[in-house]
Amino acid sequence: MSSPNNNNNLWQHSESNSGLSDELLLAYLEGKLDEENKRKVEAMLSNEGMESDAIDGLLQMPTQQTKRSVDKLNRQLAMAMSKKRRKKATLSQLHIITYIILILVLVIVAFFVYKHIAQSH
Amino acid sequence: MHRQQTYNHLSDQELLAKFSYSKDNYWLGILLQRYTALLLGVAMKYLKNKEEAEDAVQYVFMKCLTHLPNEPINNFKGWLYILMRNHCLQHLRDKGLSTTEFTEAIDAADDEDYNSKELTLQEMEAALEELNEPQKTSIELFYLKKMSYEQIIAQTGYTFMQVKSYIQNGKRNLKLLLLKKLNK
Repeated sequence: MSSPNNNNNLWQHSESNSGLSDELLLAYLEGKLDEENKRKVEAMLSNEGMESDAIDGLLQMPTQQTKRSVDKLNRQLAMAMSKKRRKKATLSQLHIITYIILILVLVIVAFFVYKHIAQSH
Repeated sequence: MHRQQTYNHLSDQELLAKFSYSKDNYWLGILLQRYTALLLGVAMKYLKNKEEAEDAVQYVFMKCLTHLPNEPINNFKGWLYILMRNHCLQHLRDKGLSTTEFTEAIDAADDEDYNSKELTLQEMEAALEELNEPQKTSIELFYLKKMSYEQIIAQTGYTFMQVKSYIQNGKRNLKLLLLKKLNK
């Protein structure tokens, strides 16, 4: 059993949203919740919806397996996001380089135009 | 998972707003990680296969990262749930499996047009008596005697899934019985 304080921390996300957080659900499956929090979770499971469906599915595999799968999926998500972020960062770097080259070209052209006008006078 | 805990004080709506403002997938990632286990569980319920369920969760994640609608989403969890359910049902249809059982359950779950009206305790008790025995027992033990699922299982010999199902179906039947009484 985890301490009541730890249990209360687990509700922080759930209280700011409607429903059960992943942490609470996994803590429930591992039998780590005290009686009061267990009751709160079971009251949610007694309603039809995402939590109820999820527990039906998660009971089909051992909790340790669930935790491994969740960690794996979260790692894959983080990797997919960092790839996208890197791609985005590379694109913005390319934009900056293009702008710098354009400005340089404009400055050079302006210099030659100015020089040409000055010579013709 | 560690960085997600840092933002537990932010609601889904606040994370979505941060994502809409910055267009930074970082915020969307934090939001999605809140629901990994729930999504995996829903996928497992429908697909009954760990690898297929993991693939389904990955599909939903990618769909969110690449095709999140521009319109505001008021209930992100509900939206994710529907996305996952539809993907699983489509996957089952593609495999040639019947999805009737699931869609019937979903229709029942979506029926949320019940408006609470004044009910007397006698009417509640009378309706409770009309439920079948397992539903009546489970509802009484859970709601009136405040027992946990574990205690109900120990007392009745039902399985976890049976207790959950008896309570859910009992509640739905109770609602229908009460509505019938109110409309008389």
